[in-house]
Parts: sequence; C-alpha cells; structure tokens
Amino acid sequence: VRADVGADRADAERAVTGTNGAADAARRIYALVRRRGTAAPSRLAIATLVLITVLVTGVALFRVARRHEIVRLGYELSRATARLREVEEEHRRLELERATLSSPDRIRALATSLGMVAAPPDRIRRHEVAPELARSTPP
Amino acid sequence: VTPGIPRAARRRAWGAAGVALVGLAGLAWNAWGLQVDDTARFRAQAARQHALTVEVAAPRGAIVDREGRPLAVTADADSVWANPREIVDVVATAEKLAAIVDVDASVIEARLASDRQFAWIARRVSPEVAAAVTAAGLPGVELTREPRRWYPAQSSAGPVIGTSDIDGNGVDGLELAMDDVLAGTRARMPALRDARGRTLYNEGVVPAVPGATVELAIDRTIQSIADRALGDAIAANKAEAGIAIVLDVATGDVLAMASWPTFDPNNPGPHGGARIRGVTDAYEIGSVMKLFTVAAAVDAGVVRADDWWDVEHGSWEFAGKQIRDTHHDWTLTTTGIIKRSSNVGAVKIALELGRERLHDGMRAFGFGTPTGIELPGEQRGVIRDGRRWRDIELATISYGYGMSVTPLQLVAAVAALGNDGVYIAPRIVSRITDAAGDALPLAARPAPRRVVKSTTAATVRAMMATVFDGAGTKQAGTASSVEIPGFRCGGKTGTARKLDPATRQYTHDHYMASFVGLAPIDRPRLAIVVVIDDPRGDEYYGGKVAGPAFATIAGESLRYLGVPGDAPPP
Repeated sequence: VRADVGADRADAERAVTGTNGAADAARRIYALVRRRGTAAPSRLAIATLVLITVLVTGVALFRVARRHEIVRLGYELSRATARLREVEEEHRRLELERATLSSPDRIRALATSLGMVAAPPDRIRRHEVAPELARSTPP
Repeated sequence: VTPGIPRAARRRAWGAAGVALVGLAGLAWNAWGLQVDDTARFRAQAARQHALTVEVAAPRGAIVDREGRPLAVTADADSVWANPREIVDVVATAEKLAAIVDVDASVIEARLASDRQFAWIARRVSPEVAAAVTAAGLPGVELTREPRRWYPAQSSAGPVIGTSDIDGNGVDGLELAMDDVLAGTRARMPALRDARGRTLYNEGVVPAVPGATVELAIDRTIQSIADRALGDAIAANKAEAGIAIVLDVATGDVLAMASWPTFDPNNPGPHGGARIRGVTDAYEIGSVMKLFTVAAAVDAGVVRADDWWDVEHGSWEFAGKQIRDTHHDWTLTTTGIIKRSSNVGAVKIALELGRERLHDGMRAFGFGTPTGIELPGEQRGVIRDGRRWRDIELATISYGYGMSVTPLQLVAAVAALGNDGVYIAPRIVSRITDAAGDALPLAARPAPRRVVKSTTAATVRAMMATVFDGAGTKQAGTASSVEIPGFRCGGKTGTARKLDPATRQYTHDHYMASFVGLAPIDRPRLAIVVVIDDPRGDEYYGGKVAGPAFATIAGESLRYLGVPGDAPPP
C-alpha cells in the first residue's frame, strides 16, 4: 500500500510540475486530499472541498438571482415602455385638442356669438411705456 | 462484502441499482438527444415560440406655425375591425355597423362573410364613431388604435400643408416636400414572449426616433384672416379661384398663403382643383406690373416721379395695335400713371427705358426665376429674352401682358420695394428641429440682393400710396374705393383679360383681378397680394374685386401684429 501511495504522490507531483492530461489533474487533486500514509482525507482537504462547494453554489445562486433580476427588469421595462407610449399619446391628443379649441375661426365664431366686435381705430389708444418699465414687465 | 446484510437484500439492492441505472441511462440518452443531437432544431423551435422582434413605429414629425401651434400632428385614432368567425348574425351586424361608420352595408356584409379571423370595417374613425361602436356592443366587433394624421386648422392652408397617406408618407404640399425630415426612424429590438404572451425586453429598449418638427413661417391667425378674406371675395364675386399671400417685408417670411378652392386634409380624397396656386400657377397678371416698369425706369434715371406724360386721352396706336386705358386722361405725371393705371403711359415709359433695361429690371425683381420656396411644383413664370422682344411685346410687357408670373414672385417683388430695394427670397419653413430640440440645417436660400436703389424704392412707394387717393373725384386712384381704417397703405390694382386657350385670343368676359400692396406704406411691414380668377359678379376690376380682401387682410393683420395705426383725424 505504501508503495502505491508513493506512486500516487509521484503522479500527483508530476501533475504539479506540468505534465498534461485530465488524468494528471485528477491525480493531483487526489494527492492533495489524501492524508500521507492513510486512505482517509485530511481535515484541510475536507474544508477545502466544502469551501469550493459553497463558492460554486454561491456563484450559481448569484447567477440565478441576477438572471431573475434581468427578467424582472425586462417586464418592468416592458410596462414602462407601454406607459411611456400611453403618456406620449395622451400628450399628443391634448395638444391636438388645445389646437382645435384655440383655432382662430372658433374664437371668432364664439366672440361673434357673444356680440363682440373689433374695436374701430378711433377707440384704440396707445400709451408709450418707459424703457425701464418695459424691461421689468414680465412677458 | 459488508457483513450482516442478507443475500436477498443485497440482490434487491443490486436490482434496484440496476433499474435506477437503466432509468438514468435512458434519461441521459434523452438528454443527449435534446441537448446535443437535435440542439439546432430545438433552439430554432424555441426561438420561434419565444423570441420576437418588436417594431416600434416612429411618430411622424409635427408641422407647426411660427408660434409653435400645431398645423399637422400625429395621434392615435380608433379603427374598427371584426372577427367574422365570432359574428352571430352577419346581416344585422353589417346593417348596424353601416349606420355608425358610414360604409355601405353590403360592403361590410361581404367582409363579414369571410371565414378569416380578421377583417377591417373602418380605419381611423373619429372618437364619436368609436364611442358609438363600443356602445353598440356587437359580438366579434372590436376597436384597435392606429396612428393618424390630424390637421387642427382644417381647410386653412390645406393645400400648403398637404396630406399624407395611410402609411404616413407625404402625398402633397409640405407633407410631401418635407417628407424626408418628417418621417421618423422605426425602432427594431429583440424581445422574448413568455407563456402568458407578455413581452419581455431582455436586451433593453431601442427607442424609435420621431420625425423632426417643421416650424413654418406661417402665422395661424394671419392665415385664418387671409383665408376668410379670400373666401368672402370669392363668394361676393362668384369667382372660380383665388390666391392671397402675406409676406413679412423684412424677412421674406410667408405669413399666410391662402388658395381657393381649398380642402380639408382631414378628409383626403379628390381635391377638386385645390392646389398651391400661389406657386403652381403663373398668370398674365396685368397692370400691377407697371410698378416694376416704373421702378426700373426711375432706377435707371430715365424718368422722375413728377415728369409729365402725354397719355393720348387713353387711346394710342403703337406697332399696329391700339393701346387703351380705362380712363381718358390727356396728361399724367409718372405718379399719375401708377395712380390711374395708364397703359399708354406705361408703354411710353418702357419705350424710354428700352428692351434690355426693362427685361433686366424685371429679372432683377425675380420674374422668370423660381423663388426657391420649400413647396412642391413651383413655376418659374415666363419672360422672354428682352433682346428678342418685338415692339408690341415691349409695349405689352410694360403693363403685364406677354409675360407670366406667379403670385409669390409678385408679392416678393413688391416686398423688395417695401424693403428699401433689397430683394429677400420668400421662405415658408423657418426652422426644423429634431426630437432632442436641436436645429437641423435648412435648405440653402439665396442671399438678399439689392434690386433698385433705396431712393427708387421710396419713390415708387410714394406712388403706390396715391392709388387710394381721390375718392369721388375725377382724378380718383384705381383703389380709391378701398378703405383700410386706421392704416395708410400703398398698392397697385390689376385687371387682366384672360387668354382663351382654344382660340389663343384674349377674352372680353373673363378676367384676372388682382391687388398687390404694402401695409403700412410709411414703414412697410407686410406685402400682400390678392388674385381673383374669373370674377363673374357685377365687378371685375382689381380695385373692386381684390381690393376689399386686401383691405381686410392688411387692417386685421396689422392690428393683430400690434402695428400702431395712424392717429384718427381730429
């Protein structure tokens, strides 16, 4: 058995020093987890394996969580895009309504129906505004 | 061998392990088939089921007036469609729909008789029609939203604004001329569809690029004034067609361009002769051209405003033809020739000036050359090379026959007189802005150019003012009946016989009545032209037919612009 172990370690060392192939890599790991002279793995090796497992699981969970977040944001984007389209459409509709309601022909018809007439020139007085007042007057 | 485990149990364990192994091997085999062997096929199938490309239509850009007020905008409208397979009673449904959407019942019935799952009933209907369809509650009849072009100014400037087709492509007017910038860029983006049919933008959103906004030089209110004044003139004189254009003298901005007949772009279809007559039609315009004959002569130093002319009692034979005036004056000053619109006087001035200088003067004012305005179908008008004019052509061109001009060319030339002799090419598009509000480049515009001296322009303007003078006297100007309360304006009347295309002879009962002027005359702000084609009422003279429309447009527009009027007499 000791001779076998020695041979295994030699194989593992060969793997470390750069021999190629999957078998070499497996032997290297095996050499690390085998306690010298025994068939049982060392505590360090178990801890390493647990750590690796936890890390791999953590990365996997993180990826899944990220993927879920992407999907959730995708739906949210879809809803927001639809809402944006609705709001833009509403804005266009209101602009159109404003333009229709404020059309000169409509205003003229309303004014006429209310008995309004254009002021004749002799009823119009113009007052000059001092430049400093004109500047301070809001538009 | 582990001690203590009965042989039978061991066999069962091995058996179970074997079964599990076979099952797992089967699963592995199937997995291999799904994941490796048929991967391309299944990937394609999944892509067909889940992957989709979403197309987002780009809204067509708006056309707005100089104050940003919409003249053409795109907004969604309801369209009515049906699923014929869900229709219970085809005949009754067709009759009910026909009453609502104004489509023949037999047409709707034919569409509903199909075995398809979709049929259009009426597209882009009004909100009232959509509400009526909803209220009817017909099984298998639904509403959907589609973008539609709306024109809130309706028929005002209809031919100028133009129309776009059902796919949003410009068909005529500015909708056609500016189609490249009005059309936006559609967005195409990959997305996923889940089992419930919801769309998932897993790779983000690519926004559509809306079309640019085209801001016109037109002022909606002045356009409305011009439309109404022109419509009234057409109705009062039972005329066939007409044009009214208002130009800002200082900038060349087209503030209004009214045409009659007009049309409402909200109801596209046959336009019945409606077109942008201000640029597409060139006319032998008559006496208004005397302004430019006199301007060229004054600028050349050939004549002065107070020179006296023998106008032959209104009838003079020249080059074998009889030149006639409406009035029978013996003598007139140069100013009087404009005021009384003497053809004989204009011919004598043209003879003093000579062919080439008259031709060059006319060309300098822009006649015979397109203005370059951003409207489709602009004509250049016709003015032959002056060196080839016969004597009679020199004579008739001096008072506006033997050459043709568009109303836009005419009003731009008059604006040059109002702008101290500097010609500015008219424009109707003043700004183009993209969706981000950044200005896009405009079409190149000719640089302003001096066509006559400043003093010449002032002299001709003074002549134009006299056209309104002398109401009720023997020396009344040709527009003495035209009154513009509160403002002093200048102008020139024109009354031209129309050429009969069949006989190639000038008719005696079909006329073009025109009026072109500056308002106010002392510090011109607006250049206005009104042309009435074939008035069939009691009057046909330019001063009587087109003059009142000029007065309405000038008075109301100046007041709207806040131009101070003349103080009323004490």
